[in-house]
Amino acid sequence: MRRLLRTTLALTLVLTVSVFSSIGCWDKKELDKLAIVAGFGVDQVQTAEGDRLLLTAQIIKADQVISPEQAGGSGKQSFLTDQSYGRTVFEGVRNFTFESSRRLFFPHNRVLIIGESLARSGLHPIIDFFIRDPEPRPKQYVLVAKGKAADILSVKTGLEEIPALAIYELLQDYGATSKVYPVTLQDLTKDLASKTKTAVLPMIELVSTSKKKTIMLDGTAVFKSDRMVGELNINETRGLLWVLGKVHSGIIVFKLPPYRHDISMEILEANRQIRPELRNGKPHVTVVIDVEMIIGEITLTKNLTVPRENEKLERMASQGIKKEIRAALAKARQFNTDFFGFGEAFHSRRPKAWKTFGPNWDQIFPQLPVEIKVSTVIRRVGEATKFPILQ
Amino acid sequence: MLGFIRKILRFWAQNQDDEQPLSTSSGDEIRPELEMNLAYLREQLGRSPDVIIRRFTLGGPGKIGATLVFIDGLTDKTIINQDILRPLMIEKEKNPVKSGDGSIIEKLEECLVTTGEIQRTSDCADLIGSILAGSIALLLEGQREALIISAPGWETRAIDEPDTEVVVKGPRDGFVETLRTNTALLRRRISHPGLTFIPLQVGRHTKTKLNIAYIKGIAKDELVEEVKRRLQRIRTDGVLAAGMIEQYIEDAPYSPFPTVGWTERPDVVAARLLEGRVAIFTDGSPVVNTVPMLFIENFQSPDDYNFRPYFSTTVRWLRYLAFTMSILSPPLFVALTTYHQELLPTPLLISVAAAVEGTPFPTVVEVIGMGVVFEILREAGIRLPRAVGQAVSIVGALVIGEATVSAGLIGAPTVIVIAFTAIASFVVPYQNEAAIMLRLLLTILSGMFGAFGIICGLLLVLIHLASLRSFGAPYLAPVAPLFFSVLKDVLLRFPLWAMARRPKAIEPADDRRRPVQPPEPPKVDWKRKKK
Repeated sequence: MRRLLRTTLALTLVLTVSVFSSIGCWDKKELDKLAIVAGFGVDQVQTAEGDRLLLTAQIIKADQVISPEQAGGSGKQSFLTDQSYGRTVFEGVRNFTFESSRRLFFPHNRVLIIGESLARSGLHPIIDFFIRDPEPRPKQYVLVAKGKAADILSVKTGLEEIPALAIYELLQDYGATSKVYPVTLQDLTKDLASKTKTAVLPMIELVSTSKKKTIMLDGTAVFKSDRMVGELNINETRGLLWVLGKVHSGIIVFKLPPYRHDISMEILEANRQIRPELRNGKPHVTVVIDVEMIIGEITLTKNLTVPRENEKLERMASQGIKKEIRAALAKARQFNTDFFGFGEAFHSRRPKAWKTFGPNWDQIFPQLPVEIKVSTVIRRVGEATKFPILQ
Repeated sequence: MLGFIRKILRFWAQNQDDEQPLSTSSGDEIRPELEMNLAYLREQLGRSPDVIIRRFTLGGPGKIGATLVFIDGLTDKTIINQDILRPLMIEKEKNPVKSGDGSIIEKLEECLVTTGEIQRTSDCADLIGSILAGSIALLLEGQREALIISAPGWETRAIDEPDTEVVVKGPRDGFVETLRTNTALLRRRISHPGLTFIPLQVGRHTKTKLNIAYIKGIAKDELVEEVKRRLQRIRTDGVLAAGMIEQYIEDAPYSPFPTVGWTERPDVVAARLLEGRVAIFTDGSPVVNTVPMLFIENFQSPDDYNFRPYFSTTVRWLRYLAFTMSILSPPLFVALTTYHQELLPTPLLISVAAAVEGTPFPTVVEVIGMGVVFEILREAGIRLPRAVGQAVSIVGALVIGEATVSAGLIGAPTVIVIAFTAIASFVVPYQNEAAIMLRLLLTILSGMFGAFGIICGLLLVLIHLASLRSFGAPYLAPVAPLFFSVLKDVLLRFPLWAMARRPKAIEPADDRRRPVQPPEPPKVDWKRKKK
């Protein structure tokens, strides 16, 4: 019996030790062995060996963010811009190990910036890695850089320590103007997978003044399939947002005839409906937009907060909105890109008819009649009725 | 796993020697010759100076020889002098008893000895047992019986508030080391004839007195019998405290979780008896055990019932949270910082990464190391004399907390996590022994497998907990198995008048509390009153 006991004890010990030691620490990655990527850029460059992708990673230097003085005096940046080349994105990512002592860690990547020339030649080869690999998140924003992504990722911006996080915040706050359209990797994937709806991406550019360089969101890149074909300016972008139902807030400025003064109205709430219809067997779209507004600023001294003037204001605001949508629509027709998703609307709500004309959507879309109905209601007039000084 | 350990331990237990027969043989009768009895007692009790043998002669015409035998220090001298020796030696003359009278001992008991508790015996072993337990033996020439007079007079501690279970709004008395005082404290709270004490004795040498307490009509008879059976099974040299009794009667001796409850508070014992539990009082120990024990008891404090339900519920949730965090925060920290960095929000990750930058050890080693350091500090704090204890805590806080971080040996987040764990672990003190082990196990698992390891570990613990029984009651009741009618004291502490049922898992003989009714203040019509 004693021997049995001793054998069992010894066996348990051996088994326990071997189990614990052979497993090791599977998939373990210590924090101080990681390079946390906050922003990632892809460009196309010419090298001696031919066309290569230039990958730029903006890596957070955690200790600099927390205590800049302690870790080496002021003036040091709290991020590091690292670069690598590769024929494919994945190869390039692995090539970082030639110069970076730490492994790139993607889950905290907030923005993926793609150079304009690369965007014009096709997104698919770039995007695939970010969709297929488990580390990058589908909720990161994708942007197109006017010029090179590498330049944008190497600039220190205003208040934020990490520029990539600053860009992320800029996109998050798009609702203040509703003139920027933030697109996540997930949205982009969905758009690229759609047969008719085409992708759009916000654009970002480097603005150099004599004193310093800053980065700025500016307009929207329009894609046909996965290639960039054109741009929308900021007003056209809001036209797009009206139709997509993504307008949250923002200011509309217009003149109220016969006065020559500017009036600013703030968007309180906006609802939109897209009504795909068939008129005489032909597709026809009605976009209905209901907007609630507040009078934000009146620069003339007349009291406009009387019902008659109010109606006029509402009418003018509606016209302003219509103008924005029309501008976006014109661009869509020009590039023949259905970024509004009208095709999808027909597909889901008029499935039978869609079967007949769906395959020819490319030919139909440029001539598609679009009716725009905007109704604006002024909810509040602000704290003053007329210009206070003259009372 | 547990089964394996059980086999090995049982094997060891079997190899131990069987119990030897008792040295004092019972069955010896008291003889009529006083000298022979005294010789026998001397032989049995030895010549220790604390054994006092006082010879005297009964007053009156008979001149009968008599002897008092007692232990010095255990008996009350005043009682001996005033109530035994004085009436027997002097006042005997007023109440003459003739020599050779067969019923002389009966007469003494009836007419002369003026103490309350008194009994007769003819058995020598019984006599010795009583003397050693602090009674006074009165032997008479020519009698086959002796009187055992109870006059306990040893030094005791005053009734005090227990340090381990302090309450804000409850009674301040706690149990002491004397069994009778303790049962009296309980009797003062439950003045119901149903409150019953069953005396028992365990320990071959210590002869420790036990009392099983229960309320007839509330506690199940089978439960009382089972407690009695398990206590009678105890065969050991000595039992010195209630904590030892626990280990002889518990259901799962190999589990890290206790299945016998304990408390130092009479009000808690009273409350548990009223729920149908059974209490075990151990002489010489201020701790009273109660069975069956449910897991939920760890989170119920007497204050829960003294305060109003909203506050009690909130505090109870805090306790649940603190217990969970005391077990889970170190392993979660390890898992999050070494495996699942993507789960942390970016700013938090940056903060943690900055703190960890440049520390020499892997996070698991840091966490386990700091955990061990904390346990050492805690243990030292308990054992050290009070005055030194403070010095230790200062050294611990300053040197270990501050210096290691500023020296870059340990990351600040680790210290924060361990400190938080330490504080949280004191919120639920009853489960501390289990919590220490679980914390270590889960931390090792999370160091090897991340969150996957934690979840596997927790599942194992949960399965184990669900399989535990305490005197027939499922340990996780009333949650698993689910007893809806008594859930009113688990997640939410319902108003007292809404808790109409006693805990079902304990299977009380009568599971209805009667009568329970909400308060009914008289309705006043204020409008009418104004007129």
